[in-house]
Parts: sequence; C-alpha cells; structure tokens
Amino acid sequence: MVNYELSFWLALPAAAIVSGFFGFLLGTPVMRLKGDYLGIVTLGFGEIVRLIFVNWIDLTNGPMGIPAIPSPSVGGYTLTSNSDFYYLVLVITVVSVFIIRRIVQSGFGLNLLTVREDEIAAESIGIRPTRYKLLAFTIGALFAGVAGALFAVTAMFVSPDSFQYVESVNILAMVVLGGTGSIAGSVLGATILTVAPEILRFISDYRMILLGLVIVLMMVYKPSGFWGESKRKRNFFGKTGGYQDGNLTAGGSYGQVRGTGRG
Amino acid sequence: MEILRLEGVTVKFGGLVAVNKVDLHMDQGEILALIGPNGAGKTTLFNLLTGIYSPTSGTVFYKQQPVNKLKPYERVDLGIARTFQNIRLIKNMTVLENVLVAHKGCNSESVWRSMFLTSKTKQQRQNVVADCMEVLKIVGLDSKIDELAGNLPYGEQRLLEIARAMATKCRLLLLDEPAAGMNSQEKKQLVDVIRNLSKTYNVEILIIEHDIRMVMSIADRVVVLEHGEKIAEGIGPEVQNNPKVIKAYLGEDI
Ligand SMILES: Nc1ncnc2c1ncn2[C@@H]1O[C@H](COP(=O)(O)OP(=O)(O)OP(=O)(O)O)[C@@H](O)[C@H]1O
Ligand SMILES: [Mg+2]
Repeated sequence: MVNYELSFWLALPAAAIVSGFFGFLLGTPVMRLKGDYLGIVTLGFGEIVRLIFVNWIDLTNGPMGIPAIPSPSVGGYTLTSNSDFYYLVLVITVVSVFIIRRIVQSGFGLNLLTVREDEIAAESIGIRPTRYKLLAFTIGALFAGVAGALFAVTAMFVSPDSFQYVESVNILAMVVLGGTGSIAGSVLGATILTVAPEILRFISDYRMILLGLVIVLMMVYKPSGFWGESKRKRNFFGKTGGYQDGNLTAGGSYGQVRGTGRG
Repeated sequence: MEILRLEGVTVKFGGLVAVNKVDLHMDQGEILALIGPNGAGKTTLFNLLTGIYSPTSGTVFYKQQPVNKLKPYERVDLGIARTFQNIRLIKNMTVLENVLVAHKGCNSESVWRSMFLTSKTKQQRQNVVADCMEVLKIVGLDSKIDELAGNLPYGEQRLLEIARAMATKCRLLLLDEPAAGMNSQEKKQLVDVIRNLSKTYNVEILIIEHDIRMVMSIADRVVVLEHGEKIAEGIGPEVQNNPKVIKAYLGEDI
C-alpha cells in the first residue's frame, strides 16, 4: 500500500492469500508432527519470519518498520477516527465469523472433526487426513493474514517488533481461555484478553501475572475454556425433512426421495 | 465372478508372523466367514485388506487389480469398507453425522461449496441426508439420529459402524466381530441386517465372528485361521468336523 499506492481493499485479500500460501508451504512438511511439536514448529517459524523482517531492509525497512500506512477509504470517505476503525474491524470480523461458521458447519467441517478425533477411522471412510490438516492450517493462516492487514491499517505502522513471540502466545491464550473448538469461545477469549489488561491498568505491573494465573487455573480446572466446544444436539449438514421422532410425517424430504408415495 | 483374491500373503511384525502365506478368494455375492482362535491374525488380515498394513510378501487383488500399494482412503473409493473390533465411531458426533461423513457427497464437499452454500448445494445435501437415513433405517437406528454416537449402547454402536461403512457405497464389507457384546436378541437382529445387506444391496461380506452358531447360519463358506495360517476352508459342516479345526479350538465350545 505504501510503495505501490494499492487500495486497502486489494491489499486485504492479497495479505490473506500470501499468508495462506505461506501457511500451505509451512504446513506441507510439518503435517506429520502432532500436538505440541506442531505448536513449537509454528512458533519457531514465527520467529524466523520476524528475523527475516528485521534483516530484509529493502522490503521491510528493517527494525525501523514501515511508517505512514495510509488509511482505507470507503466510497471516497477516508477512515480517520477510532470509531471508523471500530466499524471496519467489526464488519470484517462479522464477515469472517460468518464464513468460518459456514466452513465448520459443512461436509468439510465434519471431515476436519473426524480427522481430529480419529485418523484411522477417517481414512477408512475415504477421508485423507493430511489433506484436511493442511487445508485447516492454510485457512487458519489466511485469516491470520486478514488480521495482519487490519492491524497494519489500524496502527498505521508495522515493524518486526509488532510480531514478537509474545503476540503468538497471546493469541494462543485467547483461544485457550475462550474455549477451543468454538467460534464464540475464540471471540470471547479475544475480548477478555484485550479488555482485561486495560481494566487492570491500576495494578499495572501485576496484571500480567494475574492473567497468567487465570490461564493456568483455567487449564487445570476447566480445560475446555469459558465457552468451549458445545455438545452436538443435531446435525447441521442438512435438514432431515419431515423425519422426526422416528415417524415419517407427510411431505418430508425423506419420504419424497424414498418414493414412498408421500411426496 | 471373483471379487477378492489373496496370493501367498504374509504379514510380519518384527519376528512375529501374524499372517502366513495365506491364499484366499471371494466370489460375487458371497458371505464368507473368517474364524480362528484369539491372536490367529484375523484382524491383521482386515488391516491388510483395508490398507492399514501392507503385506511383507504376497499380493492382494481386488476385482483382478493388485491393491497392495493403495492407501486406505483409495481403497474406500474402490468399494472396500469395514467396521472395527474396537469400535471407532466419532463419539462426540451425532448418529447421523457419523454416517453423513462417510458419504462421498458429504465428505467430498469443497470449501467453496460450503462457503457459498448455494441452493444447489443445499439440495445436494438434502439428497445425501436422505441417502444416509435410508442406510440408518436398514440397521434400525433411524429413530436415534440426533443422539451422540458415544451415548448409544454397545450393540447399537456396532450397528452404527455398519451403517457408516455402507454409506461409503461399498461393494465389499468387512465386519470385525460385529456381534461382540450383543445379547441373543440383538444378534438375531444383526443376522437379519447382514442378510438384508447381502441380498438387497448386493454387497460381498467378509465377517470375523466367534459365535459359531451365527457363523453357520449366515456364511456361505468358512475360512479358518490359526497362528496366521489358513488351516481349513469350506462350507460350514465340512469345516466344523475338520479334525484340525477341532484341535485348534480344543477347549472352546465348537
Ligand atoms: N501392530 C502390531 N504390532 C505387533 N504385533 C501385532 C500388531 N497387530 C497385531 N499383532 C499381533 O499379531 C497377532 C495377530 O493379531 P490379530 O489382532 O490379527 O488377531 P485376531 O485373530 O484378530 O485375534 P482376536 O480374535 O483376539 O481379535 C497377535 O499375536 C498380535 O499380538
Ligand atoms: Mg481381532
């Protein structure tokens, strides 16, 4: 945007695509790793990227960072005030949540869940575990790219310091605190970890210790987080039509497809 | 027509020979029972057929085509599906979801289609659901679609695994001790389900089962394994009176 006077509305998808692409590249070799090891590799990769940003002066201006990132404009109106940016972020968040919900509540989402729970079972019903792990990784990176683009225009300045290791940890803590496997949980966790340090400003130096304590207690006593994955009550893939309580009611899609003469 | 053929298939785990030079064949429409004492190599043979293990030597042919190198999910595409001795349902998914996710129309849905969710996609989903409901009806679980799989009693979990395997539209169905943990009432229902699948849906069924009465009542042919070797093969009574088989089972109620 700075060098090429690219519109924010082009830079945003570009950021998503570039991030997604690197997620894919990184994901390809590391998909064999599981759990903690996978986490360590991704954190390590984050550090590598940061160091590259520090040293690749031509592209990133090194530790000095990129100043004066222009503000996005909507139909000729350039966003300036805090509330302008609030609405920008809100709209993009709502759209993202909508898209992620669609992705989760689909055949694709069921595949991801199956692979997470039992890879052998997944393979034996025709699902390729590595493919779906890689796609999940790529989609995650894509949305991280969107977040990065938003961060850049809101802060109007980015430098390698903006992407310290603690940022990754912070984002991870949001998910753990809010609840894994749940969109609402992630939103809640992000809200808590953004608002809490502000509210707790009066105990300044101790607030981080307090937050650390809360997270540790959470992991011990309620590992599912404040709003973790909910018990599934019914499938969300498709309606079962007039099929309720085991009785076929007239006009149900099941009856029609079966050709039982009810359609 | 021959649907499955094993030629001199051996599986070794280090020094242990779990399956030893086994020859086997299955014809179209057949229900074949695989029996043998504990540790005989029956489950290992299933893992071999589904691609979880590959043979140390020998070749597996499915519809005349060697499948040794194919991955489990590739074999599903060819029409091989299975159930597990130690049930492997997704316990925190609903009964219907467990079946849906095995259906090609569901598990091959692309991210794009999921994201844009056009009315065409919705209609396709509707058809997939109807398809899966039909399979659930065969096993008698159509009234429990919204229950979590993990909350079903044992016998019903086994039936659900059969429904899940069927949802892949398989041609060859491998059942690993489907009656384990069932009472006689449930076993009767299971026998009906298996017969129905074989007749109505034309699937070939290879079944591992310890209940010899059940084996005799549904199997067209029986193969006996012991210590990884095939020690007998034939129609029920032939095998039952085979001295080798009696010896292998000595102490067990045959
Ligand atoms: N992954 C493995 N690694 C090492 N040994 C194995 C493995 N899988 C099976 N075995 C061994 O191979 C032999 C055959 O096991 P298998 O599970 O095939 O027997 P089975 O006939 O299914 O017995 P059961 O009736 O108890 O289910 C056993 O001795 C078992 O311990
Ligand atoms: Mg076994």
